[in-house]
Formats: sequence, structure tokens, C-alpha cells
Amino acid sequence: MLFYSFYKTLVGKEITVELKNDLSITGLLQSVDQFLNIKLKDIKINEEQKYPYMLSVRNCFIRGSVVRYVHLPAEDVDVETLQDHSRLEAREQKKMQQMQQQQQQQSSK
Amino acid sequence: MSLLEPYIKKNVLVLTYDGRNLVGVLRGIDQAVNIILESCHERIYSEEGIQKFPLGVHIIRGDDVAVVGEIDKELDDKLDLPSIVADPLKPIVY
Repeated sequence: MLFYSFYKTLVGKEITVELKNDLSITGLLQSVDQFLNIKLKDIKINEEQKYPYMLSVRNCFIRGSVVRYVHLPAEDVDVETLQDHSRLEAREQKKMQQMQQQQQQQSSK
Repeated sequence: MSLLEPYIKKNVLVLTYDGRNLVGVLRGIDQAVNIILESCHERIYSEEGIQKFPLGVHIIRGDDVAVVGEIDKELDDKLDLPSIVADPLKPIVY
């Protein structure tokens, strides 16, 4: 859920989404969901001459599973908060693992 | 609440995993992005420009959907399809 929350802080910003079929779409991030599907507004295709497939499209939905890279505006990424949240999540995962191990040990006795 | 709900009953362009371009009216969706398209046609890109191939009603499995775009009628009417020459879209590769 970390990346879902992270994307939500970027709503309204201009991002470029590079797909696994080499198509690159630039647009304003409109919304994301739990599968990291992305909705973009006012899109522009990079290298429009070579890839004229979406000339009549302004708003689009991209399935999370076809995304290869997302290019983000550096000034809008709050690295410190991201690091803090990553640490927090790692810590919680570790705690969960330890609890599971303890339960397994108790049940095997 | 699905992200695709606002596109229902609108004309949409669907790019699939194997690189096909389908255009039709979006009639139904679910959480796996399975899609029902009504009165749809395929736009085939070739050296002779874009050709339309009528298909009727189609259900596309969510795994095969890459992009769904809302077609802007104004922009679409301006396009001269037979004059647009491009290679077919590449399939998705991991």
C-alpha cells in the first residue's frame, strides 16, 4: 500500500508513463487505485509520428500491469517522507514475521 | 469504485496486450478490467493507412487490456484515417 499512498500524493502532477510496448504517455495524474492502475488527463504521446494510435484520446486509463516505468517530477517527490514510511512498513513486516514464528514454535511444542 | 466507471456508455479506444486497437462503446467493466464493447471495430495499421474492421459486440478479458482511452469526438472527426501510416503497435513484452 506504500506506493498507492505515494501515488496519491502526486495526483494533479504531470507524469510520463512508459509502457511495456514502448509507448510513452505524458499527462496529468488524475487518479490511481489499489492495483496501481493509472488515469491520466490531457495526454500526449511521445514520438507522436511513430505512435499515432491515440491521436483522438484526451483522457485514458492505463492498466497497472503494463507499466514499465513512471517518470516523476523530481521537485514533487518528498524523499524524506518516503524513506520514513518505507522504514515504518519494513518494521511492521518484521514484527509480523516474528509473531508468526512465535506462533509456529508454540504450536509445534 | 472503479476508475473506468466514468467511461461507461462512451466511445473508447482499447489497446490490447497483443497490440490491437479496438474502438467501441464501453458497456460493462469489472474489477479485473474485463471489458464489454458494443458496436466495436478494429483499427488496423498498415502501409495503406488505417483500415476499419467491424466486429460487433466483444468481451475482452482483463488480462489482455493494456490501455483504455476515452475518444474525444472532435479530435476523432478531424483524423483522416486512411492517410495515417504507421507500423502496428508492438505487443506487450515483459
